[in-house]
Amino acid sequence: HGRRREALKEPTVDEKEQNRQRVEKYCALNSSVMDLRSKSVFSTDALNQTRRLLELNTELHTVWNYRRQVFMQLDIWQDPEERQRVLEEELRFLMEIIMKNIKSYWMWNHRVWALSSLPRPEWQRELKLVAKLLAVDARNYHGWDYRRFVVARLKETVVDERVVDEQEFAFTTEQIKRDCANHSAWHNRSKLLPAVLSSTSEAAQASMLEEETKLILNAIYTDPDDQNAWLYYEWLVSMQPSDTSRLILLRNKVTAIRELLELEEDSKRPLIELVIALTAIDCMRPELVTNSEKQECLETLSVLQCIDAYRVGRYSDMNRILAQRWGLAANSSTTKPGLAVVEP
Amino acid sequence: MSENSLDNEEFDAIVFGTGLVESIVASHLAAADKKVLHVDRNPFYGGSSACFSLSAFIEWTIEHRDQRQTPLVEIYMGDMSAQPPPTFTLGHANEQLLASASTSAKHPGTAGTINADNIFDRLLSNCSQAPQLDMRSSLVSQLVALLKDDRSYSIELAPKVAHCRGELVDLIIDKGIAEYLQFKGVEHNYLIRNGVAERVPGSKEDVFASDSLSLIEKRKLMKLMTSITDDESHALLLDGCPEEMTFARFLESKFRLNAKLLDSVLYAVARAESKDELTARSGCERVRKYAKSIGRFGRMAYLCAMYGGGSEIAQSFCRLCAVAGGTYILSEEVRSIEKSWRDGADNGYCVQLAHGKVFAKHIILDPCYSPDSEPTTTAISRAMCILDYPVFGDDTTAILSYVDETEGAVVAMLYTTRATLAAPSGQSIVYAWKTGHLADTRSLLLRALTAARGTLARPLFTALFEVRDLRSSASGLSGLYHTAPPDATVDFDDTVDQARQLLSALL
Repeated sequence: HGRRREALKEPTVDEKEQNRQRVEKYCALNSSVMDLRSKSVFSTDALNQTRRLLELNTELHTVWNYRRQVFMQLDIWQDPEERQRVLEEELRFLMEIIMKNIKSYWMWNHRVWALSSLPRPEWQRELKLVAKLLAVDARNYHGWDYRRFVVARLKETVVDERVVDEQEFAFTTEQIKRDCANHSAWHNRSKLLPAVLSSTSEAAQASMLEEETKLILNAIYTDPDDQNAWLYYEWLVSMQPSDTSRLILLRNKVTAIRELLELEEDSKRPLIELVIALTAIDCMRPELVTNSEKQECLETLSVLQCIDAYRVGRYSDMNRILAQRWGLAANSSTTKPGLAVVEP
Repeated sequence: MSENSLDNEEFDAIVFGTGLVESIVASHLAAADKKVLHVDRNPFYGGSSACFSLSAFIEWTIEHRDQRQTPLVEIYMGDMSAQPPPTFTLGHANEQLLASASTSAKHPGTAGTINADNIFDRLLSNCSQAPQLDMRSSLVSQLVALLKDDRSYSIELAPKVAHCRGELVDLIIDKGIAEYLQFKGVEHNYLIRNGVAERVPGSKEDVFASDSLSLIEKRKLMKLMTSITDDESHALLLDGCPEEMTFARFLESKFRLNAKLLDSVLYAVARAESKDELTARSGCERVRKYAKSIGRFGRMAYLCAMYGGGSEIAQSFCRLCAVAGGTYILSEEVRSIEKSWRDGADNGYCVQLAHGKVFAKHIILDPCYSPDSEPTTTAISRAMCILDYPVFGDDTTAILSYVDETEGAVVAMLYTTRATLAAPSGQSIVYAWKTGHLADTRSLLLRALTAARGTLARPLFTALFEVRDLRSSASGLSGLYHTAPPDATVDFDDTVDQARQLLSALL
């Protein structure tokens, strides 16, 4: 930071020579390893060579496969203590090279394999490792997926699974507080909420849901254009056990949107969510949606056709379908001053 | 360099006072291959931004302050709940007393003993209003308790913080002196109104996590921040507004902010000194600057230097100047500064120092060094209060804005703790300042301090003083440049602007 970027320089003769030698060495090593593999050689020499090759290029998934085969064919594999030692060494090796490319599927896969084959894996340590990674890159899919794997295995070893679930739930809360646009955290939360809810009493469940709604609304009000919180709200509605609770959540959503629209009439996301919410209520209990609200939906869709040019087709389609369903006249696009009329 | 070799020496520029402006100017001059002499009559660096231990601060009130600039210091020991009169009032020095005191009493801070009794005696012999005799033992024991951690205090004369994306930080990085300095983030920004201190959120994360804002208030604040910081929408917002529209009016009409949010944006973010001070345009600029600063080093908009910002940063520039060949003398008595002529031609200036007579084409000086400086009508009143409890957190720094219902005025404040090594663990120092003379601002400042400390903390030591702007009749002369003391804004950018203006005239 604060350092000026240096312009790319034409490599000098020395540098070109160095590069050429490096490429030569790499190719030689690569052919050597592939040769061993084709001959089904499973020796410690193969381990050494594959290690050197993988240090140079972490993305050779054939070589990772081969390396796993070598491990499993060695005599030491049968002795649990030796296996423990060798795999821990492998984990350390992976730690070193994971930093070169944090998003490498093959390295994470290899780590999962190593931990699955370890006689005595240390899940708490793995958890700490993932927490560190997520601190660096909070939305890394590999990190979150790996965390789910570790947590699942961890739960097998503990007495009370609920404690782990609650800890994980709290972890997602923390991540969301740090950045309310963290899709991965919200997604993980959706995986945990059912488990956490089922382990609490009925009364506690109601208050938990209230807390969830508050959290989501908090995110929606902070940034109404981010789709995260809206999607999570939709999921929350869908996982409700009964229509009554669904209807309550939907009505709350409509109230919140109306408040937001008072401040900013042209906010795209809240506008479409309003239509979605009202039509969802209509699907469940048509008598709960008033005629003026239905009219409002159609008008909102016309407004959206003006302000969101990319999705004109979708809005006009919805307009037509809803108008038909409700026996109302389809709203033609109202012309907003300064904007061109878009024909549906 | 031996003392005598300075005599008759010629310099390109002589700088008087090692305040921040002067030090930035001196280091740039030296870097431009000018021969620079930098002189300070005090035994410490920093000038009007100096930073002291408690005993050294007391010594400053007695000995080192410029009597014309700061004619009065009020010191209050202990609790202030009944708004008592000051324990000590130090006015203009009585020459006789000063002479007798300096010979008989030990100077605190000299090798070894910081003696509470001695300090008490020095205060007693230098004040125009003293406590009653029977208070002595109680006051001395209070001093003893405070002085136990004497070196843990870093009391600043003119506390300021730096915008993370402001002029000073960029200058420090550019000049490579960042390695001499350490900073902590100013983690929180509080608005104190109606007796309640509430955090003002600055970033989206802050808004999300805030417990004190309603959802709709959060939305309004976010909308405000995003539309003012986005170039396009910012231009659109200002498009229809008349030039004279105040920022307050702008906020009310465009964003429908309630009183609390209005105060938060106007005072805590845009740092207006009064409701109608800022125009819509300049208010928006301030908000943009604040928002831009967030995220550079973390979730805060300002940095606070450790060991006292103005002083440490000034010293770093002095170091830079010395490395580039500048000459430094502290504790140097400046006897006269006069125009110099040689063979009928203008030869710049001749300065008589204790160490000899020196010549320079240019003189840059803190007006305190001009013998004919007179105070003008403008001044800044400052208050410093050591509390026995870290009100806003033990290891944190914060800026505060106090909104006074009685006068409808706003007071800027800074809260420091051991986080920036400003106070010993378990204590804190709160600063408050306001443009104006102490006679007019005293009760306002004291109310601000009371509101900030709340019910949890009690004051141990409070000092109030005013810093007057000085003007010298010599300020029109060519080749002679006066600097201005730190202004009433919370950050250092005015200092850098001043230095740049001076340098463009000099180089």
